[in-house]
Amino acid sequence: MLFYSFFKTLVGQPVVVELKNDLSIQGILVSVDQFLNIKLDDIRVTDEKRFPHMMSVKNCFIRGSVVRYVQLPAAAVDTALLQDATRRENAAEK
Amino acid sequence: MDELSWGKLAHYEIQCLMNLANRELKGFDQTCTLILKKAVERIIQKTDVTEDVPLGLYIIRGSDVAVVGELDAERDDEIDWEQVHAEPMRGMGAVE
Repeated sequence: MLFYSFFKTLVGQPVVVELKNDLSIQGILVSVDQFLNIKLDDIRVTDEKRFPHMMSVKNCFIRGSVVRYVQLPAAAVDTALLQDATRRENAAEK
Repeated sequence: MDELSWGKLAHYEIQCLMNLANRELKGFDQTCTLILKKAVERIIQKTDVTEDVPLGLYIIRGSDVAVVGELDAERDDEIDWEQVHAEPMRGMGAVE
């Protein structure tokens, strides 16, 4: 649930989502749910030469289970806060 | 799945990746199962001309879905898909 909450704080930020088949999609994060399914607006595929399939798609839903990486804008992430939250969650589990 | 406002998507033209392309989304559920009306499979090939294969009414199992996107019909019409070529996409590996 921690990373669900974390991603919710990034709504409105530009992100790049890399899928398990190497397709990378950049766009504005619109929403995230408990499965870490992601909705992006104003999308563009990073390597359009290799993956021209989505040239005419303007927004999309990405199933959480196919995501490999999410690249975040560094300025939008409070790492100290995140570290603290992970420690607290870890402590709560013990 | 309210969060994702699936409902809003329901009547848009959609494109569904994983080779499967196109048309009208008629239904869905929480596992991402999709029901497509007037589904068209758009096969983009390395050297051959792009093929649009009409499939009709289609149900896609949620676990096989990667991306669902809303098509910009205008932009789609502007593209000469026959001249678009690409290597086949890789699979997603072991996805539950």
